[in-house]
Amino acid sequence: MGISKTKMIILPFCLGVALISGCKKLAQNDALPVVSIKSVVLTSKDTAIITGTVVNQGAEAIQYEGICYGIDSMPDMLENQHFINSGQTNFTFSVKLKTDSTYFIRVFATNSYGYALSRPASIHVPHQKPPVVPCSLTDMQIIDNGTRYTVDAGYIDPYNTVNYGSWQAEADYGSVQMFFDFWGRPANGAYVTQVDGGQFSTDHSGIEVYVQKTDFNVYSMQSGDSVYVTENPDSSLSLSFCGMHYSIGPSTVSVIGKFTAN
Amino acid sequence: MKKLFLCHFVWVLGVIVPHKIFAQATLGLGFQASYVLPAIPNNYYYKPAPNFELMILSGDIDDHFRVGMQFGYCSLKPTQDTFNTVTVLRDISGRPYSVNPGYNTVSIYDIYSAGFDFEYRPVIDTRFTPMVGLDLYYYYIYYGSNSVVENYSQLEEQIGFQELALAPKIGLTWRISDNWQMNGGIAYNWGFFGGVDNTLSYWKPFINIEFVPDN
Repeated sequence: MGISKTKMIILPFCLGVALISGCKKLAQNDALPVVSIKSVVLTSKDTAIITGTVVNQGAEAIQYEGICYGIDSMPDMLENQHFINSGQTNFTFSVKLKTDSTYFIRVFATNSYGYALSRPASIHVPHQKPPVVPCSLTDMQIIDNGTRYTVDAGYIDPYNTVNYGSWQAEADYGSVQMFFDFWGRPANGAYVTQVDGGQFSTDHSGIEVYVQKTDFNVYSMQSGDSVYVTENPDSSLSLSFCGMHYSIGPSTVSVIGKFTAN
Repeated sequence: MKKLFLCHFVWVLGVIVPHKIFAQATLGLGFQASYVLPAIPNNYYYKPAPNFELMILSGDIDDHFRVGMQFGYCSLKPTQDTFNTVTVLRDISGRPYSVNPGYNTVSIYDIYSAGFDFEYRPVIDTRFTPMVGLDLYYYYIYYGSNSVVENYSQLEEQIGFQELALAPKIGLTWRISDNWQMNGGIAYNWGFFGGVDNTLSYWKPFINIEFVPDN
């Protein structure tokens, strides 16, 4: 029994097909994902929405997608890392950033072969404008429980022990000392009183202030009132409050005023 | 279970099959050169490489069915100096908390193979004849690497691990004389058992020459 001509043709053809398919090379560019930054948008004074996109998933499905950012021009993948396991083409993260800073952001994606990082994009978070104080106040004047006082001195107080946070301003009027405790040196903006400074936000977002009035007694301002901070050109700070509240026995009284601390 | 299976396989491969082969009256010898073309995903990591095998053959040169043994060596080289890697760190509840980049450097990937093959030639009375077959391999792979996970770990290791593979093959036989013949074809070595991260599978175009003495 001789081998047929058909078989003689088919056999090398099959070998050729098999050989070619076996030689298909998986290069680095084919195996790893390709990602890029789609947008970086500042949505509030200190919050940015970062969207990345998977341009190409590579040779395997995407496992993790994420972002990293920092003040260096080429942030490392582990720096301020956020990630998800979604497998979506587009992925979005919301991050808190400090004002008056420039950040560099990269996105990344991983598959079973490894990871890929995008080129960095930068975003500048500008210095905040002074807040609009919703009441008319006279500097260095405080109305406490209906009594008008002239503020004798306003300090940026490096000497006192700060009850909460790491930075304190002080207003002295009459026999009263009023302390304003912040997480750090405050910038332009509205801060919210917190009756228990121990309850400051754990992310140290810095929007809270603990205010304590001391004469012969100690009073803590109630939560939820506003203190407006304005940075002055001479590095002093003006603190304004249109109505902070504290309790004297069963009564709640208010304190209104403005002072400048040096 | 895995070890038991491997032990059993090695027993079959190393004792029973050789006994059957060497019990045959006619034994031939052969030498095979082939080219290992790693398949996806291994072709991302390893370059193609030559592979050499010594063959011990049973049966007459003009038998339809033939069984043999082969012993080979192949050394694969990495396609890149380093491969970037990712390690996901998880907390005690299994929740991932960090995706750490890293890299892996492969220094050694040597494959020592032993196997037996079964070949069938439907036509034996012509100078050229098609051949189909199935090889069953045991690999001992000696692997050396340096793995770094940024901010987490570094591991430099040299380990040996084992795999089993099935290799269906197809080719042509050229009967040179009553005692000599050559075969050329292609096999697909499908690693189906063992390995570390994934089993090694590859295409293997081959050519061999065989000598079978007269009975």
